[in-house]
Amino acid sequence: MIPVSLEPRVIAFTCTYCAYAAAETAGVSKLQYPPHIYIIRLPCSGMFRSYYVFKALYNGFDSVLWGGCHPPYDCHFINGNYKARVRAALLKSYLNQLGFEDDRFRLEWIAAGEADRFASIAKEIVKKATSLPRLRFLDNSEVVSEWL
Amino acid sequence: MVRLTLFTGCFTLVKQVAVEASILSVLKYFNIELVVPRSVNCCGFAFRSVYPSLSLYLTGRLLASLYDAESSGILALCNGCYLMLREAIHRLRENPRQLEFVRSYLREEGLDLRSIPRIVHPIELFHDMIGIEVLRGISRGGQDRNTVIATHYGCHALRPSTIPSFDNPLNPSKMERIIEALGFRTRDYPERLDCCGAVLLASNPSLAMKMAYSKISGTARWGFQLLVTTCPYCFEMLDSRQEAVMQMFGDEPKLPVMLLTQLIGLQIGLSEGSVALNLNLSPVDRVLPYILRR
Amino acid sequence: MGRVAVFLCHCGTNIAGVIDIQRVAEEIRKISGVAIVQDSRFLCSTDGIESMVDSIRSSGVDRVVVAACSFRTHEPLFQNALRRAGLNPYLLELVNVRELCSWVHEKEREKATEKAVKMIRAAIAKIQGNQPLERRKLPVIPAALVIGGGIAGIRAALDIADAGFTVYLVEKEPSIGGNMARLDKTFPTLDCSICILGPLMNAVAQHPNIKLLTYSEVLSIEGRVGEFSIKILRKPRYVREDLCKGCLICIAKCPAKADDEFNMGLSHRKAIYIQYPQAVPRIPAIDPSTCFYFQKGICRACEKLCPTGAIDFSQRGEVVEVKVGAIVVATGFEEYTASQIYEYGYGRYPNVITGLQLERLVSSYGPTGGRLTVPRIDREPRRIAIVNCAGSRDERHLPYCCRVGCMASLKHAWYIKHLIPDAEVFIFADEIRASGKGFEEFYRRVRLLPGVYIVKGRASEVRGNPDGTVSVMAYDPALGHGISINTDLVVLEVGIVASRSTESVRNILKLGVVAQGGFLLELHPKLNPIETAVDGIYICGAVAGPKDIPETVAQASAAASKVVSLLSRGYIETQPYTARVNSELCSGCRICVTACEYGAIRIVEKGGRSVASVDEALCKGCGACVGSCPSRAIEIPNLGLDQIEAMIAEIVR
Repeated sequence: MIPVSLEPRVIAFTCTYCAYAAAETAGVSKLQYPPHIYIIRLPCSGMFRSYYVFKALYNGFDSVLWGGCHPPYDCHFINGNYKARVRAALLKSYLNQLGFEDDRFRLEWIAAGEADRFASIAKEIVKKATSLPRLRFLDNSEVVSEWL
Repeated sequence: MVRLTLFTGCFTLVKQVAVEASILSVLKYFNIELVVPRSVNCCGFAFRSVYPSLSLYLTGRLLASLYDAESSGILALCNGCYLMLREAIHRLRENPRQLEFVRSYLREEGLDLRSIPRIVHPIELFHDMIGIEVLRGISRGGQDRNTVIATHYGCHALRPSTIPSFDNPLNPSKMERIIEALGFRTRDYPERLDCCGAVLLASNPSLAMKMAYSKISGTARWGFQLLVTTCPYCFEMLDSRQEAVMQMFGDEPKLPVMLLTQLIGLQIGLSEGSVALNLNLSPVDRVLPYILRR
Repeated sequence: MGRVAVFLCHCGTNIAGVIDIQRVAEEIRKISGVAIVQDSRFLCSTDGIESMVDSIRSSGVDRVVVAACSFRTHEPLFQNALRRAGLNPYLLELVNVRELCSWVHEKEREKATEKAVKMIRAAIAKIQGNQPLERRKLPVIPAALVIGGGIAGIRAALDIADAGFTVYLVEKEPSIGGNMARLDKTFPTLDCSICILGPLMNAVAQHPNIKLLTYSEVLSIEGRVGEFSIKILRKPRYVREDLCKGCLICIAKCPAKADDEFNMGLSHRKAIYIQYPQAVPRIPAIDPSTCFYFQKGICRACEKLCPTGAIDFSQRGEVVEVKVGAIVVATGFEEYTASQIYEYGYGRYPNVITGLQLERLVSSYGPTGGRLTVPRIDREPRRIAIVNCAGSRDERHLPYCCRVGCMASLKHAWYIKHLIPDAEVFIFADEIRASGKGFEEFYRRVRLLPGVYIVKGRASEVRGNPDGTVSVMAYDPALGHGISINTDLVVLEVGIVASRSTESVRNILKLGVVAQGGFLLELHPKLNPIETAVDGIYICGAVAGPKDIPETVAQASAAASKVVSLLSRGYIETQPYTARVNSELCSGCRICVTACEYGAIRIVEKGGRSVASVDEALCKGCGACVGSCPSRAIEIPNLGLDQIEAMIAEIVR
């Protein structure tokens, strides 16, 4: 049984050159946001696969944020952000069909200089996650575990 | 059998009757049915700059009341009306607020804007709908093929270039092809796209006359034997007022001017009377021997 | 399972002031696999590093987690510590508990401490899956290719060759020199253009390290930075270069005539020709489309006249293959099609010409030998209009400023006054842009010439008159009304675009272009105007954007310097995070091949199956392929899916 705690948990997958840089700059600028958000650094938002999102939600995260560079030109790897956008759009519609609320997954473009934006998105996403019900998976069902 | 709704516009009804008379005579020959609408109003051109919403309403009312499901479009004889109609379509399409504004007034009369009619210019009618091959067929010789004719489209037929029209605003060619199909020669000339000045008659008449002088004398010096146009306002300046214009600048009338439909009518073999050639005030007699079919 | 050493940094009070380091250490010690946990006031200090190295050595751990600051600040430092301690530097995980924890949760110490513990636990779970990584060194061929033989290509080639490297300079015309050879003089110094260009052209021809391939075109390019394989087509001149002595007798008797492209259509040339007297190499070429022998099978006068028997009608094109380490693209510019600007009458009136055509008319080796006459009318003009910004700064044509037109118009006014002292020159321009060194002074000098007038308004129209003159109309704000000036000759300072050969070159090289003008795209407009998105390919000169000669030369030397830096280092280092394919899982579906923007993935045969394979030198480690693979067959080492899974599981435990 996955333990249920009272506080929301949010995971943010960020791209090294933009979203993660913004997160670090937020730190340097001492902007404050709630501690319930964990940041994982990937080279590029183009590494997006729905697996990461599903895995996070299944393991107990309430909400997933995917951060990348602003289209059209900011992506350090040319157009990884476009790849993320397309795949995220597919995922979003699929998540809706599966019954997940809209706030469970969010794709955001955060430029390296937008530290305050990162902080405000972090605050917002944690706040929204607080109002979301805890996800309950049929974790003792073999079918569900195998699929994920 | 093509069916078009005829919109003459104010000026043709009030003064330039040759515009309507000649096109009615000519289109009978081409088997085009012209439907005369029961209720019309001014297209609103006169208020364009002083009261734009009123002029848009007036044009919108025309689009609503002239709409006829069985007609292929509205044939606008005057360039100003042609501009108002196509511009209104463009604006009402782009701006839902303006569309709602116009419709709310129309509803008071029991009218509505449903479908968008095609707005047809006379040059478009002859070049695109009747076709160059047909025009080539009517010309059975007898005219002097060395006659050089100047074309005058008029400003509002093609401009502003942001609103779609029937030809390239910077370098139109459809009227030239009509002239050539009829068996005459034509050339580009520097003053070809110049304005006749009619639009300034109300606010600055002396400048209007100066522009007409510039156009007529400029064209004449290139050796053209005739100038043709379709618009009643252009015809007013270049034909009806040519004598006054030229005298104002110490010159004399020197350029025969006709309506395109008059030229086509003469080629078909219609009488001078049926194309109202007697109403032309420019020296058309000089050019008749060259263009009439013998 | 690996043995992990965990180092916690206090960072003074930056971390320790919010996070309870001792509690963290206590929690982390409980984790199995953690051999030692050590904290330090400033890990990055000399003491801190020394102690880290010692601890690693003595504890016998094989991987290290450091909880401290950003990877941007000290990752290399810590990686070096691992190296010194005998460990592969990529068996390190740096957890940022400063920027991402202590600094942003200052008021919530309890929660921040808890979060720090979780972050470190996640890193420990992740590092179990880390593998040692290497940066491979790949050799760089000590040679370069320069595409384009104008002033940019010439300067770049000379600089690279002077540094001791072989340069292949490919030029599609029979002679190098480009547009600069067309100019009579250069602004603002009024140097004779060919006089300053000629010596450079000769230097190129004689340089032992430069292999000059004129009348040639690039067909294909393969490979990667450090090792490009290039196929070049050497078009047949039908003249043997080893026998031709450049006496040019063959040209004198040729009966055929063709439009002279070098003179911008203002004169004719023969079918056998050199572009201009100072051409390098001084070897004629035969244009088969106009040559009487090729077209009708007759003549062969050149062959009969040649004293060395150098004419060879049977010559064929030849494809040569060269291998280089770096490529410089310098294919230059051309004038925008002036006839597109209908209202200026170019093409409709013979007395409307472009700026480059004026340069040819006043040039001593131009169609009139330097006499300024109106083309086809052959009359000396008395009143000349110069129309600036023809097609430039205009949404209907080119939205950008051509950068050289204003200075060119002043130079042209000077030419005219110099050749026809009584002439009147009217320049029509919104303003005169004179921003370079000596430019404003030159503007003053020209403005003060008697008979030079500058109308502060763009020309609206050019129209012809029956007497053969043309009138230029404009609104003159000084007078407050429109004016029309009757002139004998109108010179249009037409906008410039990238030369038409740029399109095929950029397709071969897979470079990006700017939509308007077709200029090649640099890596960064401010900080990296020379490199492109493709490693090893550099751009310089007008092909990268409109610019004048000093800027072109500066960029050419910049490109050369980057090339020399690459070639002299002699090797490139691959970055360690290159994607790897598990061929057991790979189905050869090719989705990753398309996903890779750098063309780093190919399909190869392996064990009878088609599977993907990654070229380490091209892979940038972005992970686009990882995201796209439906079989999870491709991954970036130390960033594996199962590692991320492990991190996720640890955080929520």
